[in-house]
Amino acid sequence: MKLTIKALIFTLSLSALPALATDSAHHTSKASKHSVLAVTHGVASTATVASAVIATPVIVVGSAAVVSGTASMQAGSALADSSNHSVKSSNKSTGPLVITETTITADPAPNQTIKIQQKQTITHTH
Amino acid sequence: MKKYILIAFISIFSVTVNAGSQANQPATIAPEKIIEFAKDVEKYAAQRGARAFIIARVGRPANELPKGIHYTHTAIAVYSTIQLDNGKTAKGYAIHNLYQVDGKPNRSQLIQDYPVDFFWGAQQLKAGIIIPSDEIQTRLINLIATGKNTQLHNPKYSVIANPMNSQKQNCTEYTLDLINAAIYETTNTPQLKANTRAHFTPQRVKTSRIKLMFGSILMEDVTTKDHSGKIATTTFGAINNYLKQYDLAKHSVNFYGKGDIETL
Repeated sequence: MKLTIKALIFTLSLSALPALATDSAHHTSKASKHSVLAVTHGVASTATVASAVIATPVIVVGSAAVVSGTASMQAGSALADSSNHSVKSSNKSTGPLVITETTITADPAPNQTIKIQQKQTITHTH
Repeated sequence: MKKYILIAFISIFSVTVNAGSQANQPATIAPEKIIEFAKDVEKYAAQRGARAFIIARVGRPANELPKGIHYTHTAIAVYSTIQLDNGKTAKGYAIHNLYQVDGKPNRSQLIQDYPVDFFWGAQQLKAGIIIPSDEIQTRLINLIATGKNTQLHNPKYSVIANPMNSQKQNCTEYTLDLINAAIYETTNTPQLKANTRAHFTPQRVKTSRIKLMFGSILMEDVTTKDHSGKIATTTFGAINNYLKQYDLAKHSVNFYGKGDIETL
């Protein structure tokens, strides 16, 4: 019995190991999450949910840093997509930034997308 | 009797591994609260003009966290133009993560997600936020926008990766490597690791050698092979200390939602 208790204590102490530093688990591809978000969207009229296709970092563009040939820019700093390779970034802070009220989520993995679609098809046909 | 002990031992470990490193964890906090909290984090950072910031979550119950470690996953959030599947575009933060591969806990991949995805499996509505200096923000954005961040990814994953060498990497070490690449304007890993050894102080992981030995035997994502001497790894707190030490952090907080913050 003593051996069992010791083994149990030792085992339980070992079980704390994964909490050592990180939990690099991702939750993007969970089918359940997308289903829940869809339902939550339905009940909470203030929160809209949308899936993202692609995100492009926004860079600060100072008028002096704009490469010639680009569309004319007003003096001071402005924000531009980094996909516009003809502009150079600046370190200037632009003050408060605008944030959408939409809750944006990454799409689930292809196999999980199919499962969700199949589930939705079954629900609709009933 | 020994047979039962062994079964108990293995079953407890199986539960632990599943709870820690797999993607299929259910949300432990009500989804509406996660949605609201994730948006609050975005708005808080945006109000301070953060174009890029370091973001962290608590993925374990507080009582399971080792002493001195407050966050379990760290990444870089970048203010972005996001094209939506409904054809519209929106402004918000995209989060650039290193995550473990499903079913292969000792391997990692780079995945970009969004605040609600990031906090989905959180155990507490608490976020770590470090807004670096404007110059570091710009350089981090350039690093990611040009795809050079991928050059710093090492897919060999360890929960307690040693940041002083490039043998293993976890999410927080990857974040540190991005920050150092931005500071030194290089993606040369040997140079970055030399700089890390010279200037960065990792956090000691206070646990027994025996635990670590058994952990490394039984769990694929725990190894001490990349360490010599005492075990120390990269944490959100260690990154904050590092940036503050060299005057590269503008604003560091524990964020609890609705403006409830604790300055670090």
